[in-house]
Amino acid sequence: MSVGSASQRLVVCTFCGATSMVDLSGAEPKLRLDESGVLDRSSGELVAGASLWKDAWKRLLKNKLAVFGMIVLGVMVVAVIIGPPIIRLTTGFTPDYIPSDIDGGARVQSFPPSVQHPMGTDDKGRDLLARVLQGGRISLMVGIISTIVSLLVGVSWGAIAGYIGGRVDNLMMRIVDIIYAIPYILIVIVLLSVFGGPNTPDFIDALSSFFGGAGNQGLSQIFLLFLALGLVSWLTMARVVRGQILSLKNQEFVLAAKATGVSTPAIIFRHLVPNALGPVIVYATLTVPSVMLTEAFLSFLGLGVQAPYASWGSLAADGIKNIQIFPWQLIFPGVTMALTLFSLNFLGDGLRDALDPQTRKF
Amino acid sequence: MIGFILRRLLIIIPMALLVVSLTWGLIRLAPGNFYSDERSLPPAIEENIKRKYGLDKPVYQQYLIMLGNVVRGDFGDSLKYQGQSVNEIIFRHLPYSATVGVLAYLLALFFGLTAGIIAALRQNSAFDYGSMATAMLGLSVPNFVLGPILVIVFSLWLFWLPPARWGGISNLILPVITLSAIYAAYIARLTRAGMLEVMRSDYIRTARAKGLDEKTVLLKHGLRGGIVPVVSFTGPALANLLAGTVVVEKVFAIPGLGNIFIQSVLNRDEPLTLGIVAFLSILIMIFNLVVDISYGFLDPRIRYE
Repeated sequence: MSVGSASQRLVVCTFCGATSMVDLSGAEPKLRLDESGVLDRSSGELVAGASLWKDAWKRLLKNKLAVFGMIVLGVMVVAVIIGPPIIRLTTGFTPDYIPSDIDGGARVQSFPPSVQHPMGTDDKGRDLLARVLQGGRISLMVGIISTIVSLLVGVSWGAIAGYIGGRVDNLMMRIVDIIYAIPYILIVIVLLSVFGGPNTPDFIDALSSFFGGAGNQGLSQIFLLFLALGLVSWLTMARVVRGQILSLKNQEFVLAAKATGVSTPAIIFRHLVPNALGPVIVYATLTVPSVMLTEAFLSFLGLGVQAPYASWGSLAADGIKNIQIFPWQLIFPGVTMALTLFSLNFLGDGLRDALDPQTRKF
Repeated sequence: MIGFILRRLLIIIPMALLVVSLTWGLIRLAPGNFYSDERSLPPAIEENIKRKYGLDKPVYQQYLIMLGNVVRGDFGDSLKYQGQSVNEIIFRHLPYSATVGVLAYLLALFFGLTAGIIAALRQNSAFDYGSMATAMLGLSVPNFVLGPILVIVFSLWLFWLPPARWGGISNLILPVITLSAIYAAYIARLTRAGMLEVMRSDYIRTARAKGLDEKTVLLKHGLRGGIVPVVSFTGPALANLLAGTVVVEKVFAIPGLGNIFIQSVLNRDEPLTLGIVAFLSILIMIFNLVVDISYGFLDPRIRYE
């Protein structure tokens, strides 16, 4: 963003507010800053920069499908957080409560949906609603944590490659190309087997003992899965960010930052990355459903989440085995998952339209 | 142009070797091996196995031997399927995956392009919203849910189609539909976005201004530019479809390459995994090359360096 005459331009980094007056005519630079180093904002026009997000928010709220998506996601998040404790308090069922254990295992049976079990039970008699909600926690966490991992790696990788350019860029992007060519399933399996069991990194063990108690191998495996999925899903993110940075790095505010002696890491992460945030947010919203689908696919193959833990993918995979006799075992987890993915995709689309006014012209 | 193609073809070889090397490294990084079971083998037997497969040599020698074999296109015998060469296994299972994959992609192209073009031309109409919502649904329903639902409805309730296995054309219908759903959805969205972008451009205005009828403007000028994103999506998508899609093969009991690949990874069947990875990466790179060449025909503004 820049205002001012042709020879003298005031440039503003929209997000961090760093401003400077750069004189392009070659005369002595004039910086019009107040004592605190912040530009005097009374000039009015500059405030427009901050309203980018407000504008986008307004446009997003106009998009009915995106609002629908946000509401469904909100309800889903609240339900998976408070659902399992409520079910335990009201009916006494937990996701891993097997009634037949108490009867001596004599009458193991899958019950159809009823008042007591709104989604029926699985073939061990576990309440399916409780399991779907519990599975939702893991499925949503897979989506969120893996997307954060892919954000951290992908954004840094793409931003550094794009800003430094030249040979470094070439090398970094060829690495991305090569990892693209290796089937991701191979990478996930190797990561899971190399870092599984006794080789689990300490911070993963720490995470799982924080959430479920020390030495919980099943939970460690799940956190490892989050990490592995994140580590294979950053490639496209890196490309998206690199493209953005390439188009941003020659703009005046970068020049201004360089002129005022800002270090390279600070230029990349405080000035460039925040300006590329729009496409990054959009792409991240679309990464969440794709990671969740991948997790479901891995669980379907028996490589993902294992009993007694559940995810929507593993529940659906279990349901498929009994599809003829107990169709509710597939339908409920499957529909819940499809609804969530549907909402995430709509939200992602709505965000893209809202944050990128270019696409709204038509 | 010919120089461009030759250069790209030459690059495929070192790239494929690099991918194979990295895959080999990944397999070697993972603990365990193909011969170990829950029971540990007597040391003497283990020694014999190691000698037979050259595992007693230093790692760099093993790597060079592997690389030499791969360069000659000889991946050796599978470790799990005794006495069958990797090439034999790949070419035995490829036709199944390829048949389902190609048919699914054709179906997806047909529905995706049609829906995408109509949606773009009648933007904000009921058809636009309806088809794009359907496409979103296609992207959101996992295919391991869609497949079994189709089986329940068409095989178990209506008895119209066989539920699984390989056989006549009737066996192909359900897997092809299941596989094509997500691709049709993707293509419809890409086509719509591409067409909307192109139909606003100056050269379309020029075409209209010089008095061409709307049909020519749309099909001869608009579509060529509008399907560029679909074409770039087609390269990797088709390569993956040819090599099989695991879920559909599992749900419909099709003896395709996808399951063979997953099994080979799980079994630590190194030669088979390397063979399939090499095959797949070469396929992807060739398709990408074809896509890059076709850009020039679609959009005359694109030039090759």
